[in-house]
Amino acid sequence: MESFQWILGIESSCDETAAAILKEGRILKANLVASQTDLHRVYGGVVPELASRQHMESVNLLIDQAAEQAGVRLRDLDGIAVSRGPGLVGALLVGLSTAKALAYSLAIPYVGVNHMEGHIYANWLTGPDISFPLIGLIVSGGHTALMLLEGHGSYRLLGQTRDDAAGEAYDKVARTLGLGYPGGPVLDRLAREGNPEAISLPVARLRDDPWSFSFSGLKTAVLNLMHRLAEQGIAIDKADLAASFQENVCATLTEKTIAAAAAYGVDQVLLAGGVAANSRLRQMMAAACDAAGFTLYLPEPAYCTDNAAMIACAGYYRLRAGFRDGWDLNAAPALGMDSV
Amino acid sequence: MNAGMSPDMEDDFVQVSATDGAMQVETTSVEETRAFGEFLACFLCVGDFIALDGELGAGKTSLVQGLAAGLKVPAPVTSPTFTLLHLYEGGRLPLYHFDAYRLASPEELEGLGYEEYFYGDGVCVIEWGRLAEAYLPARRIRITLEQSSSADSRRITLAPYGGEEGWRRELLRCLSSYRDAAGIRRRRGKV
Repeated sequence: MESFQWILGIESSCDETAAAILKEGRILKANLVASQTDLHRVYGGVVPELASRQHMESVNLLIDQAAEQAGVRLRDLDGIAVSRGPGLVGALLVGLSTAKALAYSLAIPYVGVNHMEGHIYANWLTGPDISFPLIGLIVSGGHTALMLLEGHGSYRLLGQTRDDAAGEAYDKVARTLGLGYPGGPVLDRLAREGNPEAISLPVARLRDDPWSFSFSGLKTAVLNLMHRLAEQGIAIDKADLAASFQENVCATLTEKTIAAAAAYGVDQVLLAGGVAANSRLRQMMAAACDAAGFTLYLPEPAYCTDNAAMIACAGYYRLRAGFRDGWDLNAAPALGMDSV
Repeated sequence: MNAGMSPDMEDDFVQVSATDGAMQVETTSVEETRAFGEFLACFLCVGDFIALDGELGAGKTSLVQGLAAGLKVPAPVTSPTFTLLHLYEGGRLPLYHFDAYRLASPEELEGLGYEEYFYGDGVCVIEWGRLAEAYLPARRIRITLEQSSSADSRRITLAPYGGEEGWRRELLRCLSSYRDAAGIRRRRGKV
């Protein structure tokens, strides 16, 4: 088996451009992110030409910086992993083309990675060696999905959101509460000061579809409640509302995950994605897994949001399993989670 | 509009105004909003652009879910707020679904290669269109959703904008045959 000692990961699916260097699949030597906002701050505002080219401008610079930080030369790399979707086609193509060019010039293999699969591998970066099968809950601003993870590269999508992602509901409720946008993490902090049972909010029941989610109705219910109270001149306790909302979302996510694990006879649960950093979700999932006798894997909060380390890690296992991509691989902006 | 009336009364649920070239529909549930989107999809052609506006929870994504169902798009349609753009192929026409809600500035659309979709081979719809007004095609269908008589009901205002007068008139004529989900509680009238 080839060793793949040094893997370069490239991520450019949405706002951020990121590069990481991973040693032996587990040891993170460099993990850099350049966000659009940082780049624009240098120029004192959004420069349209810059906005369209920001991934292109950042990606080579980031790769060089990552290599320097890791103390390797590019010619020492053994493989490259790059996110190929889902995401914005223009952004994805910058990463993908860079990966191909670099792989070609260095004569090393490269693989395209599903961005969502990358999130799952955030758990492999710091945790103990994880065995399969697992039930994975991938929950972020753009996605909410339950998956059965049967092995490296072998996943089954059980259900996903039908409307808003959980993280999106968080951000929108947060903005309505005047907590800014994106305000998910701020709402999480405010909720700790509130009473989670103060306000009763609806839970979506999806007939004949136990593993799907819907958060749009909950979001609207919160907004309606706020409008009604405002009309009646009643001051709203923001902390109570935040706590009640958070309790509702986390309970739904936890209950479905635990039920899926039981239904598929799996006793390990894994969380991934930006909302996996939410304190209440981590706490509630830990308690539920404890009660059910399941093992729970939680990613380090630092690796929950988009990063290239998780892409490098997912790519490492793909390369080790013999996956290789050709020069004709295209970006897949609408790549589903059932085709990781 | 006639808020809070009993369902058996003759309501002005659909109004097509001859003067300002707009129509209004009142829906009483998310399902009806979706059904209106499904109906609208029947009359959409390659290159049609829809600018959707309405507050959070007004039902913009629900209306797009209806459009997708009407276009026979096979995949589930979810909110693109975070991801900015969702592409759906495999239906009668491709559907390009944008959301301007979290754009820090409309110029960010340039980074998405918006021209390819705004002037593309399918139907393009943007939620929070007013946040990207300067970038919207001159010929477009403006749709606004507002809460009306109850928490679940919505007043949908649709106005073809720009383009040929014949196109605007013809679209409104086609849409004036709308029946809501229950097939009752509607009547065409003049504003």
